Amino acid sequence: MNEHGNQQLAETDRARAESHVARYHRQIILPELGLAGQRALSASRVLVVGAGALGSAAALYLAAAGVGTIGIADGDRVDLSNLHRQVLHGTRDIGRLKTASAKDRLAALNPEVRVVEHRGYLDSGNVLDVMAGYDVVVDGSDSFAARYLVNDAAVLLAKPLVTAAILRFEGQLLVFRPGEGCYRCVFPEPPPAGTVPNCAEAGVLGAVAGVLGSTQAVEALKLMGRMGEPAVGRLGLYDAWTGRWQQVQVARDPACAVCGDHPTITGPIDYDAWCGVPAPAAGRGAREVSVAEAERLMHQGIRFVDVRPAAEYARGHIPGAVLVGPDTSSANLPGTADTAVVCVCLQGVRSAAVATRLESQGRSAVSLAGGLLAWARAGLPWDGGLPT
Amino acid sequence: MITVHLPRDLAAEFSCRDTLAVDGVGDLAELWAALEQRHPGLGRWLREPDGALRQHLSLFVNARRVAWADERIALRAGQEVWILRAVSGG
Ligand SMILES: [Zn+2]
Repeated sequence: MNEHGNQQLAETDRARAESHVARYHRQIILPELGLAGQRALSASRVLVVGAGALGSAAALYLAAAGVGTIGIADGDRVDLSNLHRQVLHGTRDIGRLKTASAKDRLAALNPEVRVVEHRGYLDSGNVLDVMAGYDVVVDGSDSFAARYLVNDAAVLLAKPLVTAAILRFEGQLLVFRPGEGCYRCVFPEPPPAGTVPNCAEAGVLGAVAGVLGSTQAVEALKLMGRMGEPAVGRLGLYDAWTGRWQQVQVARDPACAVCGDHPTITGPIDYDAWCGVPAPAAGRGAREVSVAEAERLMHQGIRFVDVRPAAEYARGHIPGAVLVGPDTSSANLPGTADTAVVCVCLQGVRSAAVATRLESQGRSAVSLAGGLLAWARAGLPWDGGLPT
Repeated sequence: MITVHLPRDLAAEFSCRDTLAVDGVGDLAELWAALEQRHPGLGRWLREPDGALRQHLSLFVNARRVAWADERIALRAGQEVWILRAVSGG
């Protein structure tokens, strides 16, 4: 290369370095972080589990702060009903994979960050391989099965874990460093399936996720930038209703099944089975599931039954869904009495009534919230003419 | 007086406040009994048939987690008791 070319390269490098410093200037001038801390962030790799509400807030701040590598693990697609709280995604992203939408958004925010998409849900088979490539784990997943999966993997791989959860107006935050306890030390068992509602059933104020997800980003940045006092040893309880943060102390439980003195869990287990299959809350009608959850159930092999009249079904339906009609009872459903089913209709009203009736007959049934309209809008598999 | 914090959805289920002031209890057994008396079903709901705290609940007395909710655990006036369950929304 000639002298002129070398000079051009040097200038490009200098420009890049200047823009790098300018981008992070307001945090580099924090003496507690400084250039050394910024360099540590650039060299760090964080895994964000779930590109949902918590993951959105956390990932945006982690990217903005210049964390070198951000992994995003999610198998879900963007749904219109996500957008009030999942600020990584926009209206134009509806139907897209959340990892893809997240990658675009984070790249637009900060092209210096390497975003790695882990498409699909973490499970017992892949979690250790995926997590092994990261320094810190931020858990924003939306099921107990995923929470225990991520926790156990973090313990087994000795990775720091920043975990949070939200519901309605409430949030919970826990930070663990290896050897200092884990999620199981605080909550050894998940609630029985169906007893604690999820956001799809009970609702959540979107900004509550912003509070908790941003706090997760703060804690992860403290760990990676080696500054401050990590919020370990405490369970943070945020109550948006009263605007209060309260804390209770937690500690490693020597009897913990995974991080205790005599662990019984030495590798990932079957978390879906351990947390139980979806069950309805007694007396409140059948449980409704979101499109995303229904898609997950489909992958698990749960049977879909269409409760619309035959003529409506004939015009178009979910591939594999069995036509059972509006007057179905437990007796004429496919499978045996203990086979769970997902009931679907156009808008989710008739299917909710049928699912509730089936539940009262002792059958495990859930209803697709928003119905086939929501399913088709998300661009999920469909046979025949699209529903209108 | 002891202050008891309950999960809000549980409190709603029993039509009570999520923060309760309970007088005149000296240990956990007396607290469960007092809760049951004030809100029939609540004291029983919190425990397994054998009397132990339900597995998925976590108990904190004075901001410290109590791994084993022994009924004889003493409570003193001014203490706070948190009964927590995990939530999973993300
Ligand atoms: Zn543990």
